[in-house]
Amino acid sequence: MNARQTEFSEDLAENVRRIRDCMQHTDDLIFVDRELASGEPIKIAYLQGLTDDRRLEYLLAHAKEFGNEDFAFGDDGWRKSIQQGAESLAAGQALLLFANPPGAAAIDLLGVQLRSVEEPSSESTVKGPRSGFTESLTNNLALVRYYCPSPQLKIESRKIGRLSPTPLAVLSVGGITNPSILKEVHRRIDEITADFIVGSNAIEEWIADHRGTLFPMVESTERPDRVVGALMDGRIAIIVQGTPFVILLPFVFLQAFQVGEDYFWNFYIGSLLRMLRIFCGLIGLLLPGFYVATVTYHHELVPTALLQSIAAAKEPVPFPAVVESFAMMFAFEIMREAGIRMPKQIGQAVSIVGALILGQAAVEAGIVSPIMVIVAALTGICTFTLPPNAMNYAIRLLQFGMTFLASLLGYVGLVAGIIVLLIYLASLRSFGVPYLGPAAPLNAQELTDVIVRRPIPWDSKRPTLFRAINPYRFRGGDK
Amino acid sequence: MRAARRIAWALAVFALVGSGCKGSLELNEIHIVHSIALDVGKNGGVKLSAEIARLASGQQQPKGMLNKTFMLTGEGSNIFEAARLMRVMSDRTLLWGQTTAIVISKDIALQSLDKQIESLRRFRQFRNTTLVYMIDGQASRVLEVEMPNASISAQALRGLAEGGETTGLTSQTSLLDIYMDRINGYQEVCIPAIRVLKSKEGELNRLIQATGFFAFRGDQLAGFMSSRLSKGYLRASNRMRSTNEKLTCDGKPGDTVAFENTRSSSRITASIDKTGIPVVRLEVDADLNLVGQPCDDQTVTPELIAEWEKRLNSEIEDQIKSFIGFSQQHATDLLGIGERIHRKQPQQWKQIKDEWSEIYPICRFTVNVNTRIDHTNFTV
Amino acid sequence: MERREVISNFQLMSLIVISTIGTSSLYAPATLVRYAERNSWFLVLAGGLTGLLNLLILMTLNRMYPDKNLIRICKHVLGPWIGGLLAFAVIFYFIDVTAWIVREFAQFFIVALSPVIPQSWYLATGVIMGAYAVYRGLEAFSRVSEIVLFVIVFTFLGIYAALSWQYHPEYLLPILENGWLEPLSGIIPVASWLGDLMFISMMLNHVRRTKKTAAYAVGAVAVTTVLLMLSVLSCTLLFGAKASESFTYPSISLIQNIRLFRYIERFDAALVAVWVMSCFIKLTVYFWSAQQGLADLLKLEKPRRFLIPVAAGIYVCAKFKVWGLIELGRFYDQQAWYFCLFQYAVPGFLLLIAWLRGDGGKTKVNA
Repeated sequence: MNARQTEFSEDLAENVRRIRDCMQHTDDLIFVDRELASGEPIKIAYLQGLTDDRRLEYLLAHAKEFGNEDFAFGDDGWRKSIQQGAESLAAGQALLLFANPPGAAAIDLLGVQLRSVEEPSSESTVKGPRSGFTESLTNNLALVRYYCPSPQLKIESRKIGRLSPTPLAVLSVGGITNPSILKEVHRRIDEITADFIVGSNAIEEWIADHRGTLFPMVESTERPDRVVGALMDGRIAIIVQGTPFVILLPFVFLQAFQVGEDYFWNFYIGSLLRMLRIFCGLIGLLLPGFYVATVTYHHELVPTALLQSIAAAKEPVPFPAVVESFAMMFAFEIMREAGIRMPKQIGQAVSIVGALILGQAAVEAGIVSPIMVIVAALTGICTFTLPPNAMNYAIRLLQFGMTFLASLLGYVGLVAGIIVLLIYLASLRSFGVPYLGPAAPLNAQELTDVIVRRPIPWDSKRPTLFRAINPYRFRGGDK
Repeated sequence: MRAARRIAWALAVFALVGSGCKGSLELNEIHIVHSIALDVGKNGGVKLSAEIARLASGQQQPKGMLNKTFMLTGEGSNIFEAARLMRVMSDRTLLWGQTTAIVISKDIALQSLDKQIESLRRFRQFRNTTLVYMIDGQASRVLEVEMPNASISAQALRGLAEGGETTGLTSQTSLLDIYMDRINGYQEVCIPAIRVLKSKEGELNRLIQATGFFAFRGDQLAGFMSSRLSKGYLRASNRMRSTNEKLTCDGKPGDTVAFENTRSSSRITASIDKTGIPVVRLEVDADLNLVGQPCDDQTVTPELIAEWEKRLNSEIEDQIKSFIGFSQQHATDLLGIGERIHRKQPQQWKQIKDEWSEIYPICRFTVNVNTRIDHTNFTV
Repeated sequence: MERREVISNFQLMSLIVISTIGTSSLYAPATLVRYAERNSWFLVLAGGLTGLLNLLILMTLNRMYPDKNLIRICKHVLGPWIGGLLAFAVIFYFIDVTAWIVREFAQFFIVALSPVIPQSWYLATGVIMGAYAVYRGLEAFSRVSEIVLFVIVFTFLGIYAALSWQYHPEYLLPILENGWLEPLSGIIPVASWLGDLMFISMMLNHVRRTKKTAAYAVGAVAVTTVLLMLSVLSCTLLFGAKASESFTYPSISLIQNIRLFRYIERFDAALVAVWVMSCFIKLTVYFWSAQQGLADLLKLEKPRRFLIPVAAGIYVCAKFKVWGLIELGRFYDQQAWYFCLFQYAVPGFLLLIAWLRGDGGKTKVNA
């Protein structure tokens, strides 16, 4: 970014030539000659299509009415070097090139067709606000401000990327967010050496504590209400230009089972749904392994009548249970992926063909046993209950490993897998916050808040996990 | 270099894993054993029979416990060997862990009970709750019974035991119970007895019936307790919940008044008196309902009920006394009187411990029965 | 420079409870009943007191040298040569104990689950899990131990509660018929189980100290004693003393007696999972102690490099240590003085020397 800078010269034509050089003689770069009220000639440069037509027309038509002093913006809008000017142009600004003093004024005329605020498709709710973020940074910031009109909300803008600087904003709340975590976030953002950044995932991968991990180290969401909730817990949000997904950090494991909607229902319902999701996560991880271990190692555990039925159904199937389960789980993953990639209209048909016809036919052909179809389907459906974040995918991936271990050593293998997984998770940290918190290290009071959702008036304390400066949301609620 | 090392690691792990999957048994590789029978084999060996469910394969719906069964038999010098020889004849490994019931023939119990129980326990796979029965005659016949009510004999055997609390004829006696009684020596072992009923037409074995108990003295078979003795035993040992009792009508020997016994409990207190003779006090409480028609032209009055209660008291007392007579005659301490004295008077117990088998037959028992007829309203 | 690892009081407590209760609850009922018959609960109680004694010794040592672990104390108190020798013996003991545990782990699963799976598989599973946990560090596995503690305590209590209707309270009578001294003949094995706390002397300098640290440690021994007593009691109450003695793993038999909804039983296979967890924690704490001790004794720069050799050593040691389960049980029973020697005598000796040297609590000791 800070390559060699060339100052603007007093010769306008020379400046134009240099800007063209700097911008690779791109064809959408337009220069227009105008005069100011004083008769001084200026050149207006802009990139075609990147600027808002109406405002550009106004500028071109009324250039003559402006005086020199109208463009004395100060340092913020004044570009002294060719390179700075080129960057402004690329970011959608128009440049007014002056001969005296040599330099250019940058006017923000960015106008790109973007979609409007819609309901986020990845996090839909039954009850709760329906607006989601869009690809525009300014729009997203406005949405957050709209949901959280607090003067303490602090927005710090940055630009990342050597070749194509992408704007991003770091959001925090003064008086709540711990400054040391905020400082750490800035430090890590500073360390990004990428030439360009696309989307928030790139930021996530750059600033995460552990780069080689399967588990998400930050949360990403499309919902402004969720961002505001996180900010109020003392967490930090990062919004990147060009993606509707906002990064929330620090992030701990058990938050993967929380959904914003929990807070829009009665707390009994919210708590039950949350526990249901944790339970489903466990099923999603362990059920195929448990089934394989049970029917190949621990037959005693199954009630006699059931074992008899399972055995009868398994009779025509020539494969070991573990092969069967891998086949079914794999087929399920294929169907799911196909369902996502298909256009919506065809997706329906795929799910019908896949689920009904394929499953039924496979059972009748004696390729898999019906109980295995039940196990695979239940496992798959259970993972659907989790919010569609990276944790979901991690669990789906790990269920293969667990099944494999179970096929080697039965329940012992399964438990050994769980232990190794727990050890691994316990050794992770997200911005210094233990990943398995508040379960381990244990904080009983906060653990209950993660597993159940407390009634809002009782929830007077912020989670200490994120080391908020102000530990209380409000006083005197906890009675 | 690094890649090479990684590949080496991966190969090593793969080789290790590929060598494995040792202990697993797919469901297509096993036969589920439902019940087993122990008989005397040739040359003092053991004949082991196993009832195995035949699985309905193909496109049919799974049938659970409604499948037909077949039987496999093996003979060897001990149970292990017999089981191993059975595997030689079978197309699949046998899964013993689901066994519901074990039927032991009287002949083999006459040899040695401990030996059989010990080897069954060492078999490891059997459940603690596996039921144990004894039969006078060929035990394997029980497994061959073709019942109209259940297709798997094990189901019938299980049902019998579960009904024991209400019939007063048998009780749930598990492998672990017998093992514990033998090892702890708190009380003597008692194993429910069954017999096979033939169909009316003749040859077919149609039903399994509970008949009473075989009582043991230590390792040895002491005697058979018929239904009346069994009732007395179950009552005295507080293992009966309900049964039925009847009283004969005066003057008409054929007519009876029937009562349903809805609750029965007993308390035993044993102690050594000054003369050194153990004194045992048995108290039984029982609640009964009138369930049959009273004798002709009787009206149910409080006086009549009081009289019935009195007669029932002595009837039940008789039952228990005859059981105690049986147990003293055979010197088999089925109620664990010795252990009760040990718990209460440990010092005195030390002196009589060694001669207990001689002392038990001269223990003084007093039986006290309190019956209460609750309801007489048999119409609603 | 690695960040200093810190664990909380509660984590210390859960490590103590899990590693003490884990394997001992399996066969303690059988072994103790041999000595004390139906009074073995009393024996456990007495064992709890010896556990406290052990804790007292270790805590006092730690109070004298708050920033040193056992190995450094050895070297500090006895000088580099004798101290180094003793420290080496202690490290050897740690490695040896780890091997014992791994072997126990394998043996247990062979008996309780499936005799067909080769022993070396279980051994390898144990060693790999332990090595991975040590690699991830003290903080990671002590966090996991918090979760495991809850799983274990609730499973144990659940087992005992589910069986409560099958108990025969009269099986405990008569209480102490031969006086209270007779049951104490089995104090050595019980002390070697409940005093299995040697590893905390390697950890105490990592604990975030508060006033309650001692209370948590004492609480841990108390919880252990109660849990072990419950396991002994429920075996005696359910099976009777002699029958408990005849089982290899009475606790597993106990679980086999649980029956739900008339048809579901034989939970032992599923609940064995709990013992996988507890064995794992126990094995890991000793493995970690050995590793840490080695690093301190030899002043290793990168102790992690020694992880794989030590793990391989433990595997080999465990594999050829004893010939079978009978021998293993015999050793635990008859040769328990070997464990007691290191658990009680070595720290006691160190304490004595330290006291003679006059390193009181107030004396500032150079780090």
